[in-house]
Amino acid sequence: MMKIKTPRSGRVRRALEKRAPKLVETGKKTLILQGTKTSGTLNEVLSEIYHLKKGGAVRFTRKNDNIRPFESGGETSLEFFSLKTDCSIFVYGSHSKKRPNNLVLGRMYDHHVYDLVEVGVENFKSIESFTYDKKMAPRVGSKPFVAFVGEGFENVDELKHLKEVLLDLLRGEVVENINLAGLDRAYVCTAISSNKVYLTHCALRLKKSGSVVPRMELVEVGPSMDLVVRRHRLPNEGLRKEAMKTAKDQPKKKIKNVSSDAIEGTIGKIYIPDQKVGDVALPNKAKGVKRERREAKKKEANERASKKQKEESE
Amino acid sequence: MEMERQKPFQVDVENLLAFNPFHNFFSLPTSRDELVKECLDEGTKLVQAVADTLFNLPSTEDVDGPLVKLPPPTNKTSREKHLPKPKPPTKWEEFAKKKGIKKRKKDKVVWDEQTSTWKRRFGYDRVNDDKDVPIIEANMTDEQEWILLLKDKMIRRNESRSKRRIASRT
Repeated sequence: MMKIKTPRSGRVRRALEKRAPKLVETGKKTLILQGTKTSGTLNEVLSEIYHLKKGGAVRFTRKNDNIRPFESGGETSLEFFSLKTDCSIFVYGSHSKKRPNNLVLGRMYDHHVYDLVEVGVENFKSIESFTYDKKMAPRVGSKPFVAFVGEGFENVDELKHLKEVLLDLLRGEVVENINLAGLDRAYVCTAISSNKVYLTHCALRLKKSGSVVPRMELVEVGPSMDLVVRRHRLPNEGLRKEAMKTAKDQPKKKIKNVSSDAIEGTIGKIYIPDQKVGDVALPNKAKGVKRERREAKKKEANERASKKQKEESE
Repeated sequence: MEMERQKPFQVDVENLLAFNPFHNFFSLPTSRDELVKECLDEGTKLVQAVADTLFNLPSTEDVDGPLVKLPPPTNKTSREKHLPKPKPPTKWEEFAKKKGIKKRKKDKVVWDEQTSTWKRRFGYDRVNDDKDVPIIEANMTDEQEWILLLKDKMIRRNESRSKRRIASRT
């Protein structure tokens, strides 16, 4: 029988709970790694993607010979890394004569490869090559706007798949509330042809307009590149159905002790619980002090109280 | 380059996403700069469309700025892990449910009859401390040894039970 290890400390228990599957998911971590050979541009691309996703990404810098995402046996290392780092999207860069500046974007389901898209990077412009007013630079971790332009994303299978994967990669944390003052970046992906996408990262400038809605202005700041779709692998139907399952929408929870009246509006009831005499804090309890001092303090307090009583009675 | 202004964009406010499925490059612009400019223009229109919906949502005032509650998303993305499986109840939980036994919270302080004060349940100067005798023997009596053996046995039994419980749950 295999020995089952259970966490002995609260810290380990909490770390395991963070990695446990949740009903509603809040954004995937990205794993960025490279293969046997990389080129200069590819190194820049990978490091800039890492900068864009600073809070939720892990970057491996060593070369990995045995990872070949599109081959059946070449995924075991990827799945192992995904399990250890708890990352569900990966960006794998490699360079060869046949496929120069190659990026494989992939997603995982339950730490097994779910789907893959292979793109080539062309016309890459790094962050340093853009000149702009530094005050407008987007802050790390802000939620971006994502814009997809082009009928290719609707009609062409590969671009449709790429759109899904790019959305997952670029969108950051999934949140319920958002602070409107913190919107400062946007990604624009345009389908230039049936297999080419122009991806760029822009800072947002909100300008005053007549109404509540400000006028948006996009200024290119970050990396921009052309992605040429090479190969892709869709998930098989059964796996896809399972991965797209959502928890049934919970029925609206009734707030307890709140009722509404036609005349008075919303009424709330406050119940004061019974006073638990056993749980009441003991007076004159100098807990931070060592025992002898504590007892001495208690004694003093008692003497003072009895003195007061004597004075009052006199 | 035609641009259909009447046809609507697909806007997903939850993801701050906007998609224009009707744009078409009939002929690519000759220079790269023009292409970039065209892409940025289209992008601006889309971002403006999202912002229109976003800023018109009901907002609450927060310290840093207006806070807006986002609606549920329209674009479904695949999950990263399976849905959490409901854990089956343990043997004790089933028994307790059947018998109607409820958990009771213990007080931190207990009334001690002998000294007629409130004493702690655990720790220094606690209620019913068996080591609280005026004279302690140097060697343990048989009775004390027996109590220690029983405690040891109970600890081992509880550990094996807990392991079994965890194994049945995973």
